[in-house]
Amino acid sequence: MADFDPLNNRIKESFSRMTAAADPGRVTAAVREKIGSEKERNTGDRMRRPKKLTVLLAAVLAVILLTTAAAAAVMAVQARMRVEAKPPEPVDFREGTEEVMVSYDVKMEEHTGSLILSDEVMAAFEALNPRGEDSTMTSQMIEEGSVILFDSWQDAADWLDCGLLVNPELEALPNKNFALHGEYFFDETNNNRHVSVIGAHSYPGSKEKIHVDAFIPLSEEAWEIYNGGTGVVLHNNPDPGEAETVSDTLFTSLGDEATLGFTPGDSGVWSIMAHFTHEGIIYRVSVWTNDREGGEAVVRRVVENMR
Amino acid sequence: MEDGFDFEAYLEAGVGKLTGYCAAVVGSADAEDAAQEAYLRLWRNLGRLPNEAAANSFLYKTAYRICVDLLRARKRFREPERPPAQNDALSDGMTAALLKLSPADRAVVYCRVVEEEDYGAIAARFGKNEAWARKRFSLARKKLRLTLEKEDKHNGGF
Repeated sequence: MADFDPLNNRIKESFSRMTAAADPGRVTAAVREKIGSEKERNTGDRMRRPKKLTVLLAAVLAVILLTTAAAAAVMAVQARMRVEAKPPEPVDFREGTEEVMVSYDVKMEEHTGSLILSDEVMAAFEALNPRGEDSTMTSQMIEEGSVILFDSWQDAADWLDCGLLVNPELEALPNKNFALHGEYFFDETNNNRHVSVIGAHSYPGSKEKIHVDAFIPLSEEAWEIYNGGTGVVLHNNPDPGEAETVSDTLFTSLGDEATLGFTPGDSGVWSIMAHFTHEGIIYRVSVWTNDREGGEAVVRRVVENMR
Repeated sequence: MEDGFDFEAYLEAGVGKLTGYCAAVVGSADAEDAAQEAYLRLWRNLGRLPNEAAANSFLYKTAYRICVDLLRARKRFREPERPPAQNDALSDGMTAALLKLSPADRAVVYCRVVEEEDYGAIAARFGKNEAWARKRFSLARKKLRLTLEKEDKHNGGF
């Protein structure tokens, strides 16, 4: 069939070169040979060791039964687990050190990340190279095809089909470097396994970039890391007292309560981050800016219009 | 498996296609091993597959997993990335762009563009639905375009 799409023609030419050296004839010969020897071996085994096979099958069956019982017990315990809303924790200053811990009070009823994504979506993410702690920058990951690019938050929400909240205002924002994408993260050392959708937007009336991240935890450890309970660590903070400003009066349009944290950095720059959860997904809306009030207004506006 | 299924004829008829598919995903150096292993696993599982369509789906899903395992093993042991074809293939921007796709995207693009499979057939090979295949193909083409545009800019083209 003639193909008039120039991109398709280039794809065909490249694949043709890529696959030319593989020889199906060698595959056929090897398959025939291996099947032949396997048939011979099976016949021999059946004649020689019927008792051994029975014993082996019994042992395998016993292992399967034990494993199933253990797994059922674990699942029963997990099913009863519910993470209670934590009372606000006091800010923990460590005198004599250069670290400041900012505690957030984030409410999350249960960790359901692995349940809310369909097998299809999970398979698509798992087919990517997982991003680990030592991974490269996002821009490089995009180049490497290690992420799933989305046209818009609505596009991401439709594809994930897991109740992802979106802010309609974000969709129309011009941004040259707009790179909304989904990625799969797996840090084996800490068993931190999650899927995240990450976007950066320029916001009208602000010079700053707004970062909106949605984390879907796939392990208890990922939930622990991203539920906000451990806070932020700052080094060489000139005025740690400022870090304790945490608001609890911010709500999404669906009534999810968000915490708003202000963390001072170097040269008068603030990190302003709102953090909330909705149906098993953890959201972070953040901005780095010198304009604390303006930044707060932008973060509030984004959060309050999430729906 | 339904009566009349002839494994030998099935192998003869499809081996070229499957080997090409594996070469597209994992490169020609490992494609023959992957295709061979997939056929062997199919042969061992014929008893529980009801018909040829199920055998097809099993064969391609298995081949894909074997290819991905090979790619992961390569990465784990820090084996240098082997170009799928001759060395000069990498000088082609499209080949480089195809290699930057994820294995799943590369497989979908190969099935759609080279084998001219419809989305339903591609989805069946992955055990997915048609919408999944459409979406993957569309995203993969977009990634290819972006990579090529970037390459062109870098080379001062257009």
